[in-house]
Amino acid sequence: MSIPKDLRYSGEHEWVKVEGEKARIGITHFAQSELGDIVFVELPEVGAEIKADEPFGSVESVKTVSELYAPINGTVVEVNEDLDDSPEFVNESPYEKAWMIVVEPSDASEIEKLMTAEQYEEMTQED
Amino acid sequence: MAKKDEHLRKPEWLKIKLNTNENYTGLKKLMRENNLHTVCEEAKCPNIHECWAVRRTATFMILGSVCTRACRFCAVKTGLPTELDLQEPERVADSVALMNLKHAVITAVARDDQKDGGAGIFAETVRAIRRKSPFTTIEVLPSDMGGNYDNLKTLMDTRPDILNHNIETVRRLTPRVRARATYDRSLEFLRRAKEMQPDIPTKSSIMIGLGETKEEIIEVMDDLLANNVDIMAIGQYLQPTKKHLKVQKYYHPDEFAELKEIAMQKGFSHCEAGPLVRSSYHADEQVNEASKKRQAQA
Repeated sequence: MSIPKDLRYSGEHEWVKVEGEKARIGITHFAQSELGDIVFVELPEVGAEIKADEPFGSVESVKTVSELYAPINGTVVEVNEDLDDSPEFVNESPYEKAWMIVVEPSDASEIEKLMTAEQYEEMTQED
Repeated sequence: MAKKDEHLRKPEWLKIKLNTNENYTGLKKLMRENNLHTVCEEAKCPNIHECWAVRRTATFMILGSVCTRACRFCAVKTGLPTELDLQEPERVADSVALMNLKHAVITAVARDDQKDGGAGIFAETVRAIRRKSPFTTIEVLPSDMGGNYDNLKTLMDTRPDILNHNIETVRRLTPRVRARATYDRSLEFLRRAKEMQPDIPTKSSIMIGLGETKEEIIEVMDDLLANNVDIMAIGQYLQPTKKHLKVQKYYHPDEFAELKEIAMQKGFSHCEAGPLVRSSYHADEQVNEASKKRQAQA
């Protein structure tokens, strides 16, 4: 699967999509393929503060549990409730249906410091 | 909300970190370029990020990537096997040398389609590693090779540093968990390996969390010891995909510690037990004194 060009990426395999003043966050195709079948997604509540490089939730796959690391600082304004009932969206549609949270960034310039699609591809490529 | 409650949540102690540093991507590249398979990837092992990125170890899986058996705990692909690859031993040996492994673990899919169960290529792989990396210790982890002891002898004649064969689960659950393999045949396989080469440590592992009782786990310990097995590993069963057997229980690390203590009291020379312990986890530490001398020169 190709890596969407219009998103930014963190070293912990989260993607960030800028939408006006807000930022939508999820995990990458690469991350979901490393984790295997996702069976549960634990997300913060609306209003929660997320801190860059600190966990804001977790994803549980058939064999593991793995923390979700915030790519930026911000306040959660929306949470994807669909993942409660359909955690498999993370495997099927990591960049679309399985967005996890929308935040109001504390400092939008932090997003600029994240990796571009090319840089993320470089980091995860096997050949 | 009811849906959430149906699902047995994984406990905190099964948390892992995706570590995809350059060691990790480098090993992936090495495996793809050399057309090699690892049980780490095929079994979706939760330790892969620790082993590949930090410890730089891997367990090679030879004789192809398709298994002739379909055990209900195992994620390895099942179906019609591929043709045997006569170059595989050399490629595995080259990779062991390139990775500069102190301890190499070699497992294989079950090749019930082959008269020798794949023993010939398995043995050649051990010899090729010895030639190219004389100081690397080698652990072999075969299936029961169809219960053919000539095949086992072919493998034991190569003098691996550890013979590992997994009994996988307690006696009662064996028919439900394993395909074709039987509990007693695995015990016999282990006993015969020891008879063939008495100074080579033998090892066997079980997965727990499939619905067994503590008494049944202790019975496995007694059965393994009665068949002269030296090393035991006990780990938490984890369901590799939704189609596989469900986890019945997540054991607490304290329960693993207690099982380890019981195993050691009963007389195993080594027991590795813990939620994320797998058959070859920390295997490099389990070789005997003679083999340690070899490692020391590596």
